[in-house]
Amino acid sequence: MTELVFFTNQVIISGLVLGCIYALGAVGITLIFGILRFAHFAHSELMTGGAFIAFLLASAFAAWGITTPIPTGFVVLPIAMVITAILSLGIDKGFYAPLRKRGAKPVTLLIASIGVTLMVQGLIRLFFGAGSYSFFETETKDVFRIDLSALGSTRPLVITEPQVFMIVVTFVSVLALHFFLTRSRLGKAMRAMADNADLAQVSGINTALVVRVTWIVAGALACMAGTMLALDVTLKPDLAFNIIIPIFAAAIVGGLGQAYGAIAGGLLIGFAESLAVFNWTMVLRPLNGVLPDWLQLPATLALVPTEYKLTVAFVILVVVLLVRPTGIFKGASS
Amino acid sequence: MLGRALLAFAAGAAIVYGARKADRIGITGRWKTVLTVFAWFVAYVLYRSQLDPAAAYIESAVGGGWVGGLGGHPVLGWLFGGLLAAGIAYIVGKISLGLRTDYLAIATIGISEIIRALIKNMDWLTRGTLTVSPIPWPTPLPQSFQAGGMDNLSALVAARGGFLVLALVVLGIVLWLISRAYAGPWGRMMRSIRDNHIASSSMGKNVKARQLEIFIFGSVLMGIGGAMLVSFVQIFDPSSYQPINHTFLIWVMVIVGGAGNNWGALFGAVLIWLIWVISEPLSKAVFEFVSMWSSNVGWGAIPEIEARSAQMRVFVLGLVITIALRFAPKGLIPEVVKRG
Repeated sequence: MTELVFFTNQVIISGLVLGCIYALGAVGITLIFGILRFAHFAHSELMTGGAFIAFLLASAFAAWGITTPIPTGFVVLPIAMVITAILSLGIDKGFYAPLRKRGAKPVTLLIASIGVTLMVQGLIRLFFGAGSYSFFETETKDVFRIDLSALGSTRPLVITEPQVFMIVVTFVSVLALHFFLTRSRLGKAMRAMADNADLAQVSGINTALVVRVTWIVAGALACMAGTMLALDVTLKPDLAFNIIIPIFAAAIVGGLGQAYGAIAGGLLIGFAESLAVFNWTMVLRPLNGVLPDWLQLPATLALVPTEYKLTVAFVILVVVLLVRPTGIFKGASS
Repeated sequence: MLGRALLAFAAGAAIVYGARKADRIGITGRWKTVLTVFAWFVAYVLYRSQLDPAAAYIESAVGGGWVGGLGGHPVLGWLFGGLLAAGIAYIVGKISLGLRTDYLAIATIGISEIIRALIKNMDWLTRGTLTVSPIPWPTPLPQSFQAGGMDNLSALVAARGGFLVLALVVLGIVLWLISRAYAGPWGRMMRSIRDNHIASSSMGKNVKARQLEIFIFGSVLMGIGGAMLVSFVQIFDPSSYQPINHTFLIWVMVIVGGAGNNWGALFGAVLIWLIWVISEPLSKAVFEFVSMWSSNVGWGAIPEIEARSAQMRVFVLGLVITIALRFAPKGLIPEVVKRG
């Protein structure tokens, strides 16, 4: 039983947390790809920028003496999401819209988005330096230890308060996104435009509005993902830049342009990463009593060493691109 | 030692291959399977027996921290760097060149991160974060000039000048070769494949092989460039090669200078390098001015000007990319299309 609890702590919870963040980021990337047909590299900076906005708001709340029962990061999240959405609209107006109007190739837009990445990265470092920050300087990070000794486990089930909130918030926002895409007029217009932009325009859909809504949704989700990642670990300027390729992997595995595929891909990559570095000896240890001496399990029995954790996502990405470039859910590919 | 490990690896591979082909001499069925498994085992033991001491030797860095090197001239090493890059490019190109533009970009960035992680963590081959140094200079070092009776500064200038001359010679040779290739039939074929690969393949050109060829050729140049960089800074530290400082910087050089024009790429390289270098002192000066003004007004000075202005380089780079894409999409020296 101890082994099972350990497995839950190490793989299920951490995989779920990582998967939620990847999924939220990948949904934004996939929506932008579906509507605007380009790979938006600067999504990582929307995430980091959103996290820093949330951090500023949380510090302001702390300075005004407002204390909240739940972590302040989650209280200020809606405000930060609105600000990030406005910011992403501004970035689109300033940098991508002129290129689109000229009819630039997708690869030009991709390079422009890398330019935006560098600019935002530079600005964040300019104001916040290269150090790391924590949301939990003025308040404590609650850790729940669920005692499972009744089930015969010597270890408790460990989950932190932000992680619980993170899983709940992701679940709620995915549901909300689902209803928005399937039930509302705008959501249906977005899906129509993703299928065929010209046909959507001919049938009277306001494509400019759809583009704006896409940026608002993508920016808000990016801010959510970035803030929650910063709440789980620490906030630093290269917070999301390091995970942008795994997020792209999640979007491609799910099929670019497919919102549900992105969620599935995000969870898949999250679980794959935590499974790959999981030390199987911890679970298989009871076998040591049965096995003969020369076949005892080594101290560490992980599929890949911990330092290759991020590489797992890249390998999955490359394999998926080779075997099934359209992703699991038949995404856009032209 | 690593060479012996490589020989052991080859021997092991031969043993396994031989066991696989054992049915030629009448061993079939279950015996063949047993033999194959046994051959794998022998090959593995043989390989590890040679690799482990080599790895331990490389990691422990006896012999003044310098392992390997056949005692050849560094320029030979540069050529070998190009060869190695060609080998890697062949594999990468085989994997990813069939993909469409954005997928290709993402796939190559992903593969580059895999290779970077491997180089960083394969301690037994590259010493990983332990770094390799000092890497020899191809031209006389400042120390040898000093031994000849020069003072520090002029010795440094002379040594660096020597390296610069060598680098310019390499650049000149490469540019001359490329210009000839560009103007020749080979260059015309490559441009026609780029502009319309369907038409070119109907003319009997093997588009896939040619794309792989140009990809490998570009990588060879990059490999030589990397080898020159590493011997210039005299230290090989895998973790210091960040995509933000290297990959993207080179992209900007090509975009700003003009893709499709060799002189444009050269001009872009010099220009962007200048911008990259002067943006730090320039922003430092601006910050100091603003800081002086703000402390006069009473808002206090800007803290940590040094660290902050170092970060401005990245911002300026991003700004240059976006401005160039918007106002000069073909680059400052665009490709010349000859008609008629």
